Order: sequence, then C-alpha cells, then structure tokens
Amino acid sequence: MIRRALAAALCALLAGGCGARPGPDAAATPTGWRPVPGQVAVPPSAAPAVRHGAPVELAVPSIGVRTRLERLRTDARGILGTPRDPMKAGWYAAGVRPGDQGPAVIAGHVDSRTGPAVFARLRELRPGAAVRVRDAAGAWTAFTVDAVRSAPKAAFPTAEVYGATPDAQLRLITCGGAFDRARGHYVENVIVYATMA
Amino acid sequence: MRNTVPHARTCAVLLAGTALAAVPAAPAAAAPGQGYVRLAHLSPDTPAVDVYLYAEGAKNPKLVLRHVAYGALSPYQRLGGGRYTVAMRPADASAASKPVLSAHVRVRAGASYTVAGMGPYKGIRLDVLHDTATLPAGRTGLRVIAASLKHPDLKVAAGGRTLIPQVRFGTATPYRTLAPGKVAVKVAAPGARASTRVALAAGTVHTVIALDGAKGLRLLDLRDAAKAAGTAPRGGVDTGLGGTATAGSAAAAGASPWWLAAPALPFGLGLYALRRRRAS
Repeated sequence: MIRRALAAALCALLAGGCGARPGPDAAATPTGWRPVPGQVAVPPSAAPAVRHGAPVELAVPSIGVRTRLERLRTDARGILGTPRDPMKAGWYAAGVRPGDQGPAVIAGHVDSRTGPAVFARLRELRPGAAVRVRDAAGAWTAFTVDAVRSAPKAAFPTAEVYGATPDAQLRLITCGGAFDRARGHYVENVIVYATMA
Repeated sequence: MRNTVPHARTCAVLLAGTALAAVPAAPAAAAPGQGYVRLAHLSPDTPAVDVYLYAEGAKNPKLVLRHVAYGALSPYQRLGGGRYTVAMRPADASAASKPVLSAHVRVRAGASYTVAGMGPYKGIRLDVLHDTATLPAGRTGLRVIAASLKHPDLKVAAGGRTLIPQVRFGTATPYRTLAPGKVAVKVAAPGARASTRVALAAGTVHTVIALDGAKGLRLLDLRDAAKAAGTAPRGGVDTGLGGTATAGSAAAAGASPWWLAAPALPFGLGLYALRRRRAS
C-alpha cells in the first residue's frame, strides 16, 4: 500500500508522468531511464539454424501443382539445365536448399512440344499464394509468394534470383513471353519470388 | 515476425545464435523492391528499450519490439523500399512519449541494414549500418562491431592473422574480404580475450559482435546473408518447348489471352458478329 503510494508520488513528480500523458517538460528524463553499469549481454535463446534436407517434392495448391523434383545442374557453359520430364520440376542442386538461408531455385517447363507442362499455370500465382517443399525425410517447408515477374532471358536478373539474402527464399522459374520458333525457345522467363513462411 | 500493428508482446526479439545471416554480393535479393532491416541494442550500460519502426510520416508504427536488452538483435524484417524512422523508448514507456533515440533509414531495394543503439549511455547514438557488401567472386566478408564497455579497445585476428589492428568501442568496421573456410576469429584486449569459430562460405558475409558477457568478453557471430557457394548459373532457363505457343503470338503462359490477340480466328469473328447484331 505504502509502496504504491510512494510510487504514485514519485510518478507525479517526474515530468514525464507514468502514463500516456507526456509531461510539460519534453526534455525531462523518462521514468526509469538511467545508466545501468555492469550489464551483460543476454545469452541467445534460440538454437542455431538447422540445415534443411535436399528437396524431393514441390506442391503449389492454388495452381494444382504437385511434382517430384529432379536435380538440376549447370552445363559446361554455366547455363542451368532443365528437367528431362516436362511434367516434373527440378531443383538447382548446387544452390541453396529450400528453407536454408539464401535463395533456393526450382525450375520447370511451361509446356512440352505438344501441350502444357508442370509449370503451365505458374504465372497465375499471386502474392500470398502458398508454396510447399518436402525433403526426403518427409518434412515440409512452407513459403509465401511475394511477387511474380517476367524478364527477358537476354537480360535475366541474375543478382535478384541468385544473390544472397538474409532469409530463406525460393524462386520458381519457367518460360513465358513470345515463342521464337526459329530458335525453339521462349524469349522470357517468368520468375516467382517467395519467402519462407 | 509480422510487420503488423503492434499488440506484439509476443513479438519477441530473436537473439543472435540463430545464424540468420549471410551476405551476398551487391545488389542482393529480397523480392524485387524490398530491403531488410534488423534492430539491435549494443549499448552496455543502457537499459532495455522498446523499438518502434515507422514508415516515414506515419503515426502508427509498422513494428514494435518490446524489451530489447543489451546484446539483443531482431531478425531481419523485410520492408518495401522507402524511408523509415526507428525510435527507441524506455521499455514500457508510452508509445506517445518522446523517444530517447531516433534515426531515419532509407531502405533501398535489395539492400540490408542494421539499426543499432551504439556507444555508452552518455552519448548513445542510433547508427544505421549498411549490411550489403560487394564481394569478389568466391570470397567472403567479415566485419566486427565493438560493443564491450569493459574492453573498449579490441584487436581482431582471423585464421591466425591480424584482421583488424584496432576497433574502438561503439564502432563497426567495414566488411573485410577473406578467403572462405572455417576460421577461428580471435578478439583480444588488455586483460581479456575471446574466440569463436566462424564458417565463412563463399558469397556470404558475417558480423562478429564483441560484447560484455557474464564471463568476460563474449563474441556473437551472425551470418548476415547467404547464397550458394559456387558461381551462379549464367542467363535464363529454357523451360519451354512451345507446345502451348499459338501461331505468331505469345504462349498461353505469356502475355494476353489468345482470344484477345487473334481477331482472325473464327471465334473472334463470331464475337464481332454478335456485337454487330446487338448494336443494331
């Protein structure tokens, strides 16, 4: 009782007040704001980040995608290879594992020679859509789409796609734009950017 | 952690030790148009604070972190590019009260920043550190923040060699470039020393913070950003064989839907005829 009265009296004295009302003297030291010599740094409370397993399956429910993942690698020219099976997506295996810090990359065909392929509807994704990746141990990691962009392959945004990030990111890549029949390739890539949920 | 209006008592500060860090070469990669900001309390004799992050000119904060004590850092928050204000108030002070510290941060797309309360209580500042480093291919970066009041003058060695001959309390060094590898980072001061093993992967950058711990000088290793260790693939990806591309126009996966792009098609003619009939 007495302590509370004393505290209240002290509060009333201090210009800053003890509640939401700012005191008349704006430069007064706020309540309890004084140096605290000898503080020690609070020890970290969280365990170190666990490394994720290599991904084996991808699911994107809002566009009906469910696929096992091939492992992709770059060819002799340094260009990322693509899945052999148009109905499967592939993970860039020398890159980041989905869920680890940094940008993981998964690519899939938009179409085969005869019709739609695994990522036919990739560009329908919208910010907020869910993307899930499973590793061999059965653990799922969830991501949320932030953005869907197109870029000409001739001016591919390498830094944005592969550059380091502070958090766990995912890029889903397929083709888009005009199809250059002479060369047999689409001229653009469609890139979905997603962050671990 | 959500960037929503703060009822965030649960918006706890994640302390270092979760290696949520790595650094990529510039320009780095949030979703296009976004950057990252983390908040830190690195002033040994300053009490705990509540940290508020506002978009420039906004009355209500985008984020509030409560009871951030000395040695605590938040995870990186993803923010749209633009101007923000960070304000620190004594823990539990009213959101309307005058902050004890504030600073402006201009967040550029693809860049990362640490906004840290630095220095002693008398003379505490809110510094905006740039966490994005340009690294030569295949190298890593390491910087040190001196945040120990008991040992204000530090010397830092990495992998057996002097990396930073002197770093004074309340300052952060620039990122120094190093070869990748698992190195022992040793921090020494008159009468004190501490060491930590840092796994430096190519293309990543680390911040090592020297703090006053319960048992003397203590080091915190943060990986500011990470990417794949090797060289990135060149150019785009040829993930399309043309099976859904219509004659002379973009693919089904491309620009406009085909029924807008091809007036010569019978369906298009049909629509046209229908319109005419309606008009008459």
